[in-house]
Amino acid sequence: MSFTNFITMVLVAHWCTPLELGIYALAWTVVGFLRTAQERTLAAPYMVLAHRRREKGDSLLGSSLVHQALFAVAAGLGLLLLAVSVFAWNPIWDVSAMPTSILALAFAVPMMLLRDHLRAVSCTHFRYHIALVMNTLVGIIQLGGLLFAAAAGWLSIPLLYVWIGVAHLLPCAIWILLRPQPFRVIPSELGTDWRESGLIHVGW
Amino acid sequence: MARTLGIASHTLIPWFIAVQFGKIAAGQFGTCLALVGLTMMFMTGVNNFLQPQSVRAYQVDGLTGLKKSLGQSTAVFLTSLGPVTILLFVLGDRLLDWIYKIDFPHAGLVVFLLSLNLLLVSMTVVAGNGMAALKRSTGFIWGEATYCIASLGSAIVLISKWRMIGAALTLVIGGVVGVLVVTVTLWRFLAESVHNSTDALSLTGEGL
Repeated sequence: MSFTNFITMVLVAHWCTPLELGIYALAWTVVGFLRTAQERTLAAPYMVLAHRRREKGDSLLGSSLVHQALFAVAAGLGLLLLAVSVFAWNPIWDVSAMPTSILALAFAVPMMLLRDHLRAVSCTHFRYHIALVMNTLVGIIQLGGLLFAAAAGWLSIPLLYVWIGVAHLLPCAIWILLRPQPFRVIPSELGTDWRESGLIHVGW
Repeated sequence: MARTLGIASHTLIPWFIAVQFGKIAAGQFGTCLALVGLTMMFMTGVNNFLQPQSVRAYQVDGLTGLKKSLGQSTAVFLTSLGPVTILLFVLGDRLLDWIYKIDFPHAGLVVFLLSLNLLLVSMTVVAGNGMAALKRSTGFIWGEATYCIASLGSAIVLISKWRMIGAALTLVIGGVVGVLVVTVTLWRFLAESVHNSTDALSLTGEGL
């Protein structure tokens, strides 16, 4: 997956202006931070608990997916607020401006975070082939769309981020429809599972 | 959550550059980070293998096994990332030009400093593996916190003075401080483990 992102940045550096590359790189720092935060907050504890609490079965994954959805929504809303704040700093409403890019990121980030979490879930249950298929799908859609937009002369950073979101959405939708790893949401367990995940961080 | 503190510097420093010197400069710094990030992919992959080895070494051979495993991990990172750091020192600016078509003054030095930072980070990762084996991963947060404070603290002075070289240097300073703190913390944990195991032996009479 990092290979797809590496190639994306290379193509942005070649086909976009230095200013657009700067906007892309700045927005990408936010993506990196949110992905690491989610990995440490949700994926790492799930990886431990899924093996330690096998008796909980599908409900642990259900809780983890709800926690992830809340994290993704909070990240999206945070980026929406950041876009509004940056608008005050750079009040030019055009497709190459920073606020538009962060606005596009607010759409893309929840999808990217969901795909990351589903990949972590697949790896936790040793279903590496599912993670690989998801990565490949994202790569093909993301880079294919990028090449098409560049060829058509439509390439801009906000459009690129929207497209990255779409590229991540499709494999996630397929995962949720096919449910390769069964899950069940039990509302009464959500709080307990969250607290138990928190205990993993303090070395429990 | 400890790693989130560490990555805070990598997230904020390009924004500091953007505020002081504009988004084009931030993009140039971002491409340097991305180039060095390729090495990070390698480091993460190798550590996925090394961390379980350290945990297993402690469970099977105790502290002696753990120390040996951590020494081997250090050697693996130094012999793999060390030459890459030297390579980037020599070819960094040319690689940036070939791959990204990016060229700015002292680009090679910036790439070299960022790869040096990664080498330092790999040393903190080894110490983190030791703490994970001892089930005391919370100790890692001190390394991450000091990394964050040292790099962001020095960023205030260095970025305005030396632009992107200053920005890369802040991460190296953070890396040096982080390595020192996690190494001392791990050393303390290892000493406590020796002490605790000696106490346990005395209580059971086996130490006599």
